[in-house]
Amino acid sequence: MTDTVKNDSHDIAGAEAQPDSDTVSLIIDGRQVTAHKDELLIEAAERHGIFIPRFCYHPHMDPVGMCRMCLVEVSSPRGFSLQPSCYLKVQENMEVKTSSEKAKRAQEGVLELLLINHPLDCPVCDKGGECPLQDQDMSHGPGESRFIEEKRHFDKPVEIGPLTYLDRERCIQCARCTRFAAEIAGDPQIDFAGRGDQTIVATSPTQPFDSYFSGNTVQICPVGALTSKAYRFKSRPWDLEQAETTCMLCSVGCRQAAQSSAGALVRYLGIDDVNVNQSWLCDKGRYSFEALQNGRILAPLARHQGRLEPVRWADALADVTAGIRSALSKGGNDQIAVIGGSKFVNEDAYLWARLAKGVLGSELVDASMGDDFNAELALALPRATINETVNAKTVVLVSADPKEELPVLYLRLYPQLAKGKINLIEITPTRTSLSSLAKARIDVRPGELFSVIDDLLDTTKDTAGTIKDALQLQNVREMLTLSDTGSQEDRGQGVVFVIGRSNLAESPVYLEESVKLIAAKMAKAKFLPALRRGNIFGALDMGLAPNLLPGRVNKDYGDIVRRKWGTLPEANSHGTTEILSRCAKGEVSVLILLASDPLSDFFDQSLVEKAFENTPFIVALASHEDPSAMRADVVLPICHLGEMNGTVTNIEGRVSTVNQKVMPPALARQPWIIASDIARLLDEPFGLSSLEEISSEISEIALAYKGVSLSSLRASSRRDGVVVPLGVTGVSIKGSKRTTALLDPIATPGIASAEEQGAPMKSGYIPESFITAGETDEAGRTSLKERSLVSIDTLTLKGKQDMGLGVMPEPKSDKHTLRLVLKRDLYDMSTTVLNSPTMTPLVDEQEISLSKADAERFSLTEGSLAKIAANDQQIVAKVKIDSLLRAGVAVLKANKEIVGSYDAALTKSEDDKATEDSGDQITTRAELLIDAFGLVTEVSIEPHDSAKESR
Amino acid sequence: MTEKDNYLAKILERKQPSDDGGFSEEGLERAKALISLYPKKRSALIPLCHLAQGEHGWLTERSMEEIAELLEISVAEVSGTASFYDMLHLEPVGNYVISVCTNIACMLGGAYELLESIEERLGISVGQTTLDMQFTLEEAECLGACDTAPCLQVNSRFFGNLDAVAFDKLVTDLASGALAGVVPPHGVLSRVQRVFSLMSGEQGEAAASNTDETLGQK
Ligand code: SF4
Ligand code: SF4
Ligand code: FES
Ligand code: FES
Repeated sequence: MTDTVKNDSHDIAGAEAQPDSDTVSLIIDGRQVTAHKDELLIEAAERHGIFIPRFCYHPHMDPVGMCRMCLVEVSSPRGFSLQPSCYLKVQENMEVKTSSEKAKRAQEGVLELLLINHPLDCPVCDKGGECPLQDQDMSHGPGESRFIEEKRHFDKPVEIGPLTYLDRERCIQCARCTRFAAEIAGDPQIDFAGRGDQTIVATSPTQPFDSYFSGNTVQICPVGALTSKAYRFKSRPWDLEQAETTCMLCSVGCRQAAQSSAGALVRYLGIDDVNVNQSWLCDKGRYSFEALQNGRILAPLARHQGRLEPVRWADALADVTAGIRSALSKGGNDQIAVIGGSKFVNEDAYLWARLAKGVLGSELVDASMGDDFNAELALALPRATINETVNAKTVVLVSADPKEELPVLYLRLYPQLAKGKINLIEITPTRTSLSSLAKARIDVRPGELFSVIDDLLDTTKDTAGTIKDALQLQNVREMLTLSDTGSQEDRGQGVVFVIGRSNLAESPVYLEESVKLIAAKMAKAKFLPALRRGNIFGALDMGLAPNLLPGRVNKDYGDIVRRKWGTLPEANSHGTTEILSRCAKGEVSVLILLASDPLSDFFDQSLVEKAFENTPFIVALASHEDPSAMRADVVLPICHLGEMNGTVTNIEGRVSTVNQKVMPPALARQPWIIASDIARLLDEPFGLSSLEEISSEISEIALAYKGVSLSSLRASSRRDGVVVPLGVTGVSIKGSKRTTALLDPIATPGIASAEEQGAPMKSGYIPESFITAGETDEAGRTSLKERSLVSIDTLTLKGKQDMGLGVMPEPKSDKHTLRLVLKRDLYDMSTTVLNSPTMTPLVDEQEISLSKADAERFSLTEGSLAKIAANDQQIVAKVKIDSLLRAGVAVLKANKEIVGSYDAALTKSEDDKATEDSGDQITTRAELLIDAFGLVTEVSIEPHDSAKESR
Repeated sequence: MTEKDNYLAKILERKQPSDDGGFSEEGLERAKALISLYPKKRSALIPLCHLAQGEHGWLTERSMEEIAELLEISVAEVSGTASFYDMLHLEPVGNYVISVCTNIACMLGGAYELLESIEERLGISVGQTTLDMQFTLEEAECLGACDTAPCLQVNSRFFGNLDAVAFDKLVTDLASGALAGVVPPHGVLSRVQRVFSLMSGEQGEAAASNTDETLGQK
């Protein structure tokens, strides 16, 4: 055997274990090769360096054999015959000719046929220059067409969705887009229509292609039929430069190629990282490059006589230092507070943690915005990787809808669920986008979570929440490995809990206690903490959180850090909610906002408003003119993703690199430089003068990051990042036959072409074996526990009795209150969305979802306006009746202020207000209703108009 | 009002059926019965399209949405599939859809001459609908009635051995309602109904008589 799977760098799971049963040997183009028995012929050939042309085949989708481009000669009992190699599994002793005379003629024929109706658009087509049809016609085509008749024509382009155009005559009917939409995204809004040469891809007349993932179809379309509004006519492939980077919009951390033309970012494309995003991106991540161009802060600003005016960096920093010095002179560790940092790269976060905790000695530091759950708990839980999650036996969703908050995690889960490969159990207050595929779901009203989980895990109970049926409950417990017969130690084997806040109007304590209970009772269960914000895990790992220090350790293990930093705050430190309430009481002198915008991004607006009013000095590091920055006293402009370098850590603890592609605008700086300047001005310089130096300090003192630094990650073999701590989390893709197509320029067309034209970094992926092989630090391979990281044992496990949460307070007696669920959707009024023109129109308006029964009770009809009140505040929202919602619950959406079609109704009431001179402002902002310290929020509802009349 | 405005208004009127364009209650019953005939719901797609067309004369957007809901598939799949078939109309059509065969036997028998005279008689060309929304004219391939060439169908009912004079009489009869018992409203197919009758346990005899005349005339 000349070439074996075993020696191949793309190890296939299982191949080594039983070489005989799982591998087959065959002959391709005269070479004896081996392949995994489930491999497709086109994949096996590719692994051995033989490229077969293709259009419809895609490494992350099931084959369809649609385009026939991959025809090769294959031996059969009746001699050689032409067969599509993407649709054929390898077989023992198969003999294949990929470029014989007959195979070549077939491939040429297919191309000539495809080009018959293909327009000569190349000079004006976005795909021209990176087009698989162009490329493969050059490499495998006949070179000439015999077709002289009229080609087909369609109106062009049609807008099939809010972000996507379709030029129908360019389509070669490969079905990549329709398959992606149906099989991967679960949004089958496009399909083929018509027949014969009139076949087109189309939406239904009523439903546009508004999938959150529509951009992926543009990326994989092998011709220029699908184009994106944001990129159409922006650039030509040969003008593009690219840098490989990591998306920082949510904590999935998709690998992407940032492409620029003439110094401006014009496109993101998903890179095929098998562990994370498998070449997909969500539309929010994909089109967020537009935000670099809009609403930026170009120079440092300082408030003079009430107005923010541009100043020199030196003056701005002097102002900041003066503010800090006077706060420090008051004594105590609670005069200076630092909120935010989840949009920073690890190096920035580290240096700001060092500044805040080591230099300023502050105990008021938090990167999360009060809507996550306890950071120590999140880091202490045995963490599952994304691949472990999507290959688990059972996934339990105790979090928000991943489609809205962690889009590509949803994208990884959906196909597995649709194929029935995982059992999904949902324990959430509202249905999610995966509910229809769940094996079981428990509808928890706000405040019920702990008692539901308690009942579920207690096998002596015969109901758990909405599951009243003993047989069904038994089934659920079986999926959770909780049956009475199983051994206690193995409980949770193969079960992954995705945990996060599904309701911002409910105290995190329910989730935290539930999770501790699960961790205590199910020894082998793993967790994927669904914290949402970009690099939140990096920020927590770098110590930008209460009680945490760099390296995933808490204060109790802070010796190494203390040696380096000198001082550390002594007292227990506090999270954002507590910080803001201290600000509100006027107890804090300086509030520093690290690219965070509490005025739009905190769940208790009354509290933030008071905090801003009562804090004498507010410093904002901000890339955009967001509401909070505009209220600050000093604003320091910072870089955005695309303009900076560093490392980030994603939801599974994978550290990967972020790379600069374009210059930051005007005077913006990367945040570590600002931290370093302030330290120097305070006479406590860090002595660190580059990202690389910071990065090696991190790998020196941060336990979990031993051996991981910017330079080691830039080595080509580690471009897809590593999961920290190294060697602890072995990743294996169970039963996967997919290896990635290093040779496949057709899978993600734009990347390969930009790469050939001298782009700085190559795209690609590292084989799994790299990670499983394990890296050892000086101490040898150690386990998570032995490294004295935050340990769950140190967090007190409270029982239901101590908590007193099992029984919830009864709703108020007037029966006019409902418990509020406040959730997010993908397109909210975040800085990114509001500054990306193609995405801004996608923000929809506030609406309140009610069950049918409740709507009737309050005499509200679909589409009418309701007045919702709680905690002495009231808002207005449009009513939506959700027949699947549990009675007693009302659902609102976070961060929605757009008035939209409310306009008319609201203007009317404004008039009334003027005449009647009545108090409150009318708004749709749900965050006003919430009391950050409340357990649950109970709202009362009445029709908007009648409220007006009764006045 | 210009002629064109008038035409558009009419079209629009038909586009917005008095109800929401979805299935009637009776139609919904039939749809569910049809679905239960198949091991996979999706298989009932074409029969349901015919059923919906029978209710409004064409496939309204709302009915396609309802079909998608009933079959648990996407609306794009329903409209995509329907667009494959010439006999399913995605646009409003006249009360009588006249399909003139121009395939070889009919062509030799004078189909094009017939077609020309029809166009003249109705004042529209192939693919159009008369302003009063009475007649839609379309060209068809072999209708399987070559022995009566040149022939045509009105709402899927056959008429053969036609010339200009015979067609003129046909149109007059259709317009006057003289053929009401023979030609049902557009979209009504006896076959769909027969299957439904069998479903509901009636005998084949009864079902066979239970065709256009009774059920077609709603
Ligand atoms: S639009 Fe593009 S991806 Fe979709 S079928 Fe046509 S060629 Fe394929
Ligand atoms: S899923 Fe998250 S990381 Fe991936 S592209 Fe979208 S926002 Fe970025
Ligand atoms: S048929 Fe094999 S790639 Fe299309
Ligand atoms: S050719 Fe007209 S019916 Fe056959």
